[in-house]
Amino acid sequence: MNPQPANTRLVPAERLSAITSLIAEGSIFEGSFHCAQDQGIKIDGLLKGNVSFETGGTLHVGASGLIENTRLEADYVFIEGRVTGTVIARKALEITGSGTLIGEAQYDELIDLHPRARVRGKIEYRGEVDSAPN
Amino acid sequence: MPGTESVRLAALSASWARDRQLSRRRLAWRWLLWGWWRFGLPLLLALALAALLLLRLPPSTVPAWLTPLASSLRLVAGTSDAMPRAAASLNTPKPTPAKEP
Repeated sequence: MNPQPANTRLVPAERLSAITSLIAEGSIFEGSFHCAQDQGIKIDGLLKGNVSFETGGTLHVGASGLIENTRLEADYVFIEGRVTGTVIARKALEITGSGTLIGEAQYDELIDLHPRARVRGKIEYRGEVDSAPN
Repeated sequence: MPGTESVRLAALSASWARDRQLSRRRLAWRWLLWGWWRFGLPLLLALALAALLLLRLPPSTVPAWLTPLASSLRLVAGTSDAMPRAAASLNTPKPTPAKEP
């Protein structure tokens, strides 16, 4: 029996299953990861650098994942580990109860912070605040 | 030889399994820590305060239902009358029996 991805509330599970790149636990990646296609990356090790997807993209920071002083940009961002820096989620940002974000979070559509999630910094909605009626 | 897709799925599956273990443990620890600060510590402090008040009360004013607890607390704190009395009785020389003529 294959294990299922983490229980997400916002980020579709099929997005996590479609991830194509993995920085494994115990490894260190220094540099920028850039992708023009709608793909995904899972980070279980240590990342010192930026991650950006021009269109689409899923970023999954695993429970053992650690990202330092970076800028992350993707459609879907799912954080179970620890992130320091700026996170931009164009569609959905989800931080689980085991996740920690220190820095700035920006999102265009949806955000979900599970109970016991730790966030220190600014959270900013990038859409039009006054456009929709109450 | 396994194909790239099966390798990808196997790597992701292993990663999810590790994630699940670690995140559960971390989450449980966070809840435990929160519970300790929110309930555990105040409860402990309240109990300590109550015990302190009970120790300070003169024995005659302690309600009957609390007397056993108060006396055990005094024994533990070493403020009981029973202990010095017992110690004193140990130290006092026993009266020697009078020699019979």
